[in-house]
Amino acid sequence: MLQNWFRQGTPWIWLNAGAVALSLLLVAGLLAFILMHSLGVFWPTDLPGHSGSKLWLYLQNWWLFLSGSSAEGGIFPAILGTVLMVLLMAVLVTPLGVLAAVYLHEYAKDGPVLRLIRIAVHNLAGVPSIVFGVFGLGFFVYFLGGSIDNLFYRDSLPTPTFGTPGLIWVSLTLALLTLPVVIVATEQGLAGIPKNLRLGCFALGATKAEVIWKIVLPQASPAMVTALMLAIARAAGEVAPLIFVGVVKSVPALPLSSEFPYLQLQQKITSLGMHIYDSGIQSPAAQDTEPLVFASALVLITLIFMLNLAAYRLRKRLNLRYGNRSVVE
Amino acid sequence: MKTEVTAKLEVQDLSLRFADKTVLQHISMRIPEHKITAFIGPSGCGKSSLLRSFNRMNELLEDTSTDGRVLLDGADIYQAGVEVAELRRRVGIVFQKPNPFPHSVYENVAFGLRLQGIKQPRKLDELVESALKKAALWDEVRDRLHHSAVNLSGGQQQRLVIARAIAIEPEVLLLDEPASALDPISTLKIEELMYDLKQHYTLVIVTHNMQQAARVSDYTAFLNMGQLVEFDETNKMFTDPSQRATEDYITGRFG
Repeated sequence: MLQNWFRQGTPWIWLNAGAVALSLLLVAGLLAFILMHSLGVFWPTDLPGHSGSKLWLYLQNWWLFLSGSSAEGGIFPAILGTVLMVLLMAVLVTPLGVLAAVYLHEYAKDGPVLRLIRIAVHNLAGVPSIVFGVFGLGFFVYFLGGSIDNLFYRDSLPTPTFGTPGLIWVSLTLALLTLPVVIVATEQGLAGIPKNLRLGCFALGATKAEVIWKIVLPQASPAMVTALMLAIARAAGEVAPLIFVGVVKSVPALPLSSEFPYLQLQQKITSLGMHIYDSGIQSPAAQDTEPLVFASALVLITLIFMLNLAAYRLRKRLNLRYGNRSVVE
Repeated sequence: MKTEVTAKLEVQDLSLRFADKTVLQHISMRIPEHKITAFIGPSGCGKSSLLRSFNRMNELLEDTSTDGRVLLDGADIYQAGVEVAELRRRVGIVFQKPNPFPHSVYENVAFGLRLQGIKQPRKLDELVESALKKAALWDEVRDRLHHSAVNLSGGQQQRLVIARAIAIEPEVLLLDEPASALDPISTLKIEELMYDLKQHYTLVIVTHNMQQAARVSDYTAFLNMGQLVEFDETNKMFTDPSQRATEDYITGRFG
């Protein structure tokens, strides 16, 4: 009977189901843990003589936390910094990754060189992120930034303008870090386009460039959004490599300006990841700031969730537009 | 074959290889203008490859090497310097499985026109309507021109693909088993359509269906193992073939 039990594969199913259950439990536990520790942080303590709704006060406290500057104990600079670095990264990595994927999949001739490049791209995804940070400091900040200073900001030397860690280098480093993810996911999207759609397009007298531009890229656009979602999720939480290239624990000013391009690309920023690390471990009064660490973690998770939600909605629209109904339903 | 018919396509000693496999050997034939020519033969005989060599579609599918010449109006399409995109505009092709683009009905037909640089909405409307009418689809889709083409039935999709192909006014239309994935009623519609289309175009059709070849074509070519066994008027081929192999195949004794 036991033998039969094994032959039917019952233990195998239980093992699979158990793995799923354990994974779910861990993720749910993590979320519950963070929620438990963060939701209560701003609940007002009973103050005698204080009137007014406690809920109102609670929401006000959250608002102060989210919108306040560092000096006020708020995390607004960190939220803004995270959003800016991730969006700028997205702007940089998407065209580069998509173009590279199109070249690799549509133009490059299959052979040992192409295989080598593919392996290199996959290996790039496995490089520890701290290495990207060191590279970013050496190449982007000192070499690129230094060159820009020498060429355009000679007057203000020896005080560096771009030759010092800043937002643009943070985003570039993140773009490099997430480039393999974008290339691989986009290439998979390109590979999934039915051959007969391409042939149909060629059959109407389209050149290869027209086939790519009018059929392949629109069809692959949902895959590109997926690639971007993965990149954003990866980038938003990075801390270690970014310490080298422009993320600091607190900034004197936000990297915004009232004039075009409205961004101070050379300015240092702070991020939620950095804030969590700093206030959780580096702070002299760690036990006082601990609840705030959980609150920051909750904000970071929510932020990533919202960015992904936006990307998901975009993908759904693209899918509808280009008729990949099977993907939508 | 009677000599007064002008040849739209002339195949001269055409041989075709895919990587290390010989697909066609020394084929020579003249495809008459404004007629329907059918290619028949057992699976793997090379009839689809021969069809696709008329607008150089093979090179998109496989690693090919071609010897010999294919003349379209007297000019070799395999010559260096031939614009393949322009060739394919002149020689359209419809495949076995309908492959509408996942766009609207209208945009499917307008696709090739836009590639030709036609942008004026009024002109596009006109050409889309006339192509859909020629493909006998207009009455069925006039109310849902801007709905997704993917929702049409298989037979409608195939006629849409034909409309898309004829919208850009090709001179030759190649049909690679256009009805083999369709039900009998849709097949009949496609056959009637072919009959109408031959007034304007030169049609070449690959088919597995003997009755279909006999019904619609003016000329029939029988291919076997990469070679052209016999090519003649359809009537002659089906009543009095000169080759034993043709007779065997047509009567179902082999293949």
